[in-house]
Amino acid sequence: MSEEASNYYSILLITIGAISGAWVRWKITENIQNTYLKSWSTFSVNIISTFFLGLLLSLLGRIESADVKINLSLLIGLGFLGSLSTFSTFIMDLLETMFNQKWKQSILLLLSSIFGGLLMASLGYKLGNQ
Amino acid sequence: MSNFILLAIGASAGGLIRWQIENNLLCNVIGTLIIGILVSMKSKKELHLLIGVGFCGALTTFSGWIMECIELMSANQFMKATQLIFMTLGLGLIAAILGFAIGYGIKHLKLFQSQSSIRRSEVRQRF
Repeated sequence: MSEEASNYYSILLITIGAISGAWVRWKITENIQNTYLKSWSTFSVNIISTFFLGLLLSLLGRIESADVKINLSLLIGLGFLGSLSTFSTFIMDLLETMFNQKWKQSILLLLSSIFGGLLMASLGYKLGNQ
Repeated sequence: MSNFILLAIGASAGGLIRWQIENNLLCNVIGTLIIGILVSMKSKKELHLLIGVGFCGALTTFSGWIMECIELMSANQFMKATQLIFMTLGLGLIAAILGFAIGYGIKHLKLFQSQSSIRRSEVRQRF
């Protein structure tokens, strides 16, 4: 593939991945009005995508073709999982609990997101290397 | 316009910009600043879907951030991994609060509006 054509192909892959990731995230969080549940639904989306990103990265190590590797990492890693998980809404949820002075909940949300994310990512990575 | 199209436009723009910037920290900070502005202005549902859920959601990434930390940890660079965690969190919170302030300024203090348009709306209020 020429460089220009492969660039368009990358744009197409990322667009497809990013739109589907955002759509899944929207469908999961859309109908939840309760702010408590809302922040935990963002949490679950983030944790799930972190797990699959870890899994993807270890599985990509087994693929030999460099083209397939790059295309999969653009479509699923950068596009779908990158768009499925969100940092901005996580910070908004965190600040909302802080402004409401629900300190216990903000600490719980913060710690479980970071440590849960780290745990899930390494779990996914280990699983892919089995 | 249907909700899906709004979401798709925002998400593809966000995803492509993240691909071009190639720096998750920078993308996360920019996205959080923008969503801060949006939330404090109490924007319409459609705008929230386009920019908040679509653009900022796709521009910022939680999984990429955590994965970078894991990569640093597996290279035994625990100090750098801890730094990345705290720096992203700290800058994210600062960006969000800055965004709240900017949004408040735009909505209530009528910043970024020309003096004549403010005067016009004052005249309109008087009569």
